[in-house]
Amino acid sequence: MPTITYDKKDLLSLIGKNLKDEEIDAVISQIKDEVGEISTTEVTVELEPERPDLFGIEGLARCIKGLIGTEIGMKKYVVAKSNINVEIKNAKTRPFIGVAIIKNVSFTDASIKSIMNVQEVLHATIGNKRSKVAVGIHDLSKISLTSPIVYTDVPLSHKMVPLGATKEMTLSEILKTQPKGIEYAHLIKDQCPAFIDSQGIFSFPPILNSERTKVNEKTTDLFIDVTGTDERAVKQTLNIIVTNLAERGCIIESVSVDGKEMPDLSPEIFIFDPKLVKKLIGIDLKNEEIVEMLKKERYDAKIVGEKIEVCIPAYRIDILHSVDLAEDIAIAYNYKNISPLLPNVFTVGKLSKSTQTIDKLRNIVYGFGLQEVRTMTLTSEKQQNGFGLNKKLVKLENPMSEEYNCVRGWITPSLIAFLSKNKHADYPQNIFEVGLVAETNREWDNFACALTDSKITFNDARALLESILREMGIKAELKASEYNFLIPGRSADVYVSGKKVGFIGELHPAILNQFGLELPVAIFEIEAYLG
Amino acid sequence: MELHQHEKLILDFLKQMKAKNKLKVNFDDFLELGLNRDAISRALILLSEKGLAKYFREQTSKSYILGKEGEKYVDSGLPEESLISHGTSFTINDLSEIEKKIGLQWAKRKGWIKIDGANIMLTENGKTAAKNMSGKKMLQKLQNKQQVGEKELLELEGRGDIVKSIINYTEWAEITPAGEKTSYSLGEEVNVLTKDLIVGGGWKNITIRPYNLSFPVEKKFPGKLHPYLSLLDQTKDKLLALGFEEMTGPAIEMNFWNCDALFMPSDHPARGIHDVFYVWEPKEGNIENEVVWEKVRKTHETGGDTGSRGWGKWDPKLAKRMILRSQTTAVSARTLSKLKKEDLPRKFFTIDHVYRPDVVDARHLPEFLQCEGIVVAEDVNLRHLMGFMKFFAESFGIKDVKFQPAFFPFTEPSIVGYIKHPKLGWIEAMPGGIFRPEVTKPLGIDVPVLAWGLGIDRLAMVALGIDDIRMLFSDNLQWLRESNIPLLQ
Repeated sequence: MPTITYDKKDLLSLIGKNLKDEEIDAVISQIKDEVGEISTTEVTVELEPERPDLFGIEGLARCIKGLIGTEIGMKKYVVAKSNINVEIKNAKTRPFIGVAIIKNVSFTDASIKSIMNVQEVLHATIGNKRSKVAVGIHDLSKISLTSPIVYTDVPLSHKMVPLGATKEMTLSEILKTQPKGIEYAHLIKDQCPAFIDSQGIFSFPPILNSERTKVNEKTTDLFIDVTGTDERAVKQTLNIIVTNLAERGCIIESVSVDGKEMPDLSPEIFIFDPKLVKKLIGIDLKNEEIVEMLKKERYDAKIVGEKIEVCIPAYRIDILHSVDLAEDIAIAYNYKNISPLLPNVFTVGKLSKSTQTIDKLRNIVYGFGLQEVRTMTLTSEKQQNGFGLNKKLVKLENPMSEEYNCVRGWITPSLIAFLSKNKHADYPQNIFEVGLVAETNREWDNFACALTDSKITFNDARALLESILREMGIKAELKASEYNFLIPGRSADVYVSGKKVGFIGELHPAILNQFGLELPVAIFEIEAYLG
Repeated sequence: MELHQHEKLILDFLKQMKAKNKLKVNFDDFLELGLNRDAISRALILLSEKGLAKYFREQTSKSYILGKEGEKYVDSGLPEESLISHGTSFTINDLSEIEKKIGLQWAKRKGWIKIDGANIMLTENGKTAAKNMSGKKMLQKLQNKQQVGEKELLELEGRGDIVKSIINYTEWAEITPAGEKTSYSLGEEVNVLTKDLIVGGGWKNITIRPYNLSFPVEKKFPGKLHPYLSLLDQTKDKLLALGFEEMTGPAIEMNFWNCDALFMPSDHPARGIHDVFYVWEPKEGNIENEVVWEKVRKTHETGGDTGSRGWGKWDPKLAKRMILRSQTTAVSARTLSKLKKEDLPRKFFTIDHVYRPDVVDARHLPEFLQCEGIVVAEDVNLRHLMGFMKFFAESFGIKDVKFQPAFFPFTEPSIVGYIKHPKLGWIEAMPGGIFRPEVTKPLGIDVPVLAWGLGIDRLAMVALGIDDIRMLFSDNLQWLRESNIPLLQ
């Protein structure tokens, strides 16, 4: 969730109305965003990543104008032709580009901050940290327009004077020495796209631009480039940027890219069935009212027969389906005005069979006076395999630490660790846990118990286990077995219907020493759901 | 000779002491036997009557305290003293009742006054006595618990309830030769009443050791369910009461169910290695349902037949990867894929483990629980979702609920229900929405599906009064033993 701080004075002047703080809060809360804080000079907003058109202050103002009714319907932006040409040659790494010219830019603090905000957030969200979409902004006057600009993949040996530097370097050097180069080097393999004019390379997207085309306070015209791996995302990112700048009064000029004019701000037409509003949202709106709501959301809409023809602005990347429009209608209507209704769906509730069985088990066990404990299912291989048993653990490929690098295969190690942390609590200590365990290709629930006191032996655990199984109506058989961590002659495997389901025994004193435990411990662990 | 159990105890004690060369046994020593003073006294009297012991009682000292009458005279002195305080000569009519009733005769007896008809005159002795007020001083001394000479108090002792005397005794006993020779069966003092004693009648001849209530006994701990799990049991009960069936699904899940079937694009930022745990082995899962697999693929690539434009791409290899489930919505997806039209309407819920790579701190753990549910029915819409959330919150005693629009990749419209906590204010508690057609159609569902979630770990922390999420896995046995399981409204 990106958080952006907007200049309040700038926002209100773009809205064209002096809203009070409560009004700003109310209108922003009406959409999906959340107001963090409104100070005397700033408005901080936590934004939903699916509305990148609102990241820039101009886009936010445009949206607010619609909701408060001062400017409704779709904004029409004039796009003149610049007669600049761009040719795409052999661009495999970032095949899709969007290019536009913006004239009449004046770089005040507010607009610079806005563009930088937008670029940052776009990169982090739609841009998927520049891998999917990246934006470059250049001073148009520093670009040679005598011949077409070329966009093509080049080997890393090609050179440019990078932004912030004085001498020319190869791209390999840039990736190794320049901060942005180092940060995004992982996106480049052996080729990198480049924008080239008659003077040479002026941009290595997604890494950085050249010093030559650097933007400063004197810049009045911009060359915007957007590159990426997703055609739609690239297109819409360009649309968002140019319309934001147009909201400030800048002029958009299109560029011919391989014969096609860009940006293409023509709206998409969606045929919307108004019955969806009642069906999905549950509110009763006449078609005229629906049109009014859509206009507040800055769409153009007109009733055509039984349906509504909606024009989706070129900067709305998030409309994939009619349901997206239905939601926008509900937002314009204001969720505060939607009254909850109790669903009258009659169904019968029930617990899953395994929960019923496990709950029965837990109740029986605590009826024997044991304390239920809860330990994590994520644990470390070290903890799990520290008893001489090598379980087929479900290990993680990308753990955060050694402490949590696998899913537990059995609960016993956690119970022993638990006891070792409670040496100062009163004895007897009788604990149990029922919970998830897993091995590669299988997950299930186990039931583990640990008893410790000054006179505990294997027989105490056995008496308890047999009583519990009897209460559960399960017939089990014990067969003597040997385990390194249990006292020889005091350990057994538990069988139900001929299948081994667990073990029971008394902890070996070597293990007790290892964990600093001073009294005997009897334990067992078996599968919890036995039929 | 028939001896009462108490007599036997006292006599036995005297014998034991004599055997240790202690003939004289002080009264207070007998208290060891667990008998009260009266019982000891009675037993000693009986024994001495029988000639088995000698019971001595010697007055050691006598002390005095103010009696009820004396307390009244502390301020004005004895009645005769207050009488002579009236002056050197006065009449009977000047006197108070007490002075007339009591003071007059005593003043006369002490030679302090001369009476002539109704007139009273002080003698020389009387005048001196009026000056000294020695009686009053004595009474005041007594009130202040100071020592007063016995001679002075003797006179007062006979007069009504002015002073009271307390006699201090020492008491002791000695066994007599006859007592030493007497036999009896004492029987042990028994700690535990046994079956034999009960059935055989032996209980009649024994004493059962009395227990001292001021001594503490061992602390007992009950068997107890875990407070958090108990809260979850109660939450499940509430959901059952609302007609929800429990659904289950694997924690070790295929990416397909966790993300792709939920219409999250293959390049969604929340699918990276910083947001989901990928499993080492097995790396890939098996496609269980070819039909659903194909439909999901088409939906991602072109929108399929859902009426959507889709994402324009799909990575099947990523979809096959095995992960630790990062949201229980995966269980909803699986459950929907198994429903047939004739099964509807249905309501499902689950409360189960989910996993996300997160730095461990007071608010985050890589493992936590999510509670979520779905309502699969004809004619349900956003208002019903809001209605359900409000109703569910009310079943926990929460009255203030508000809704904001929200965004989730798999629902549209989406909402978040906020609840008002008395101390924390509005907190985000219930995310939800209506599943997008891109989710439901490929899973074979043609009716609306309302989906809701509950931040159960967070709410449990509030209910249990803890502010560190790690306490939900507390390894503090004392805390668990002392935990009170909150009863949800």
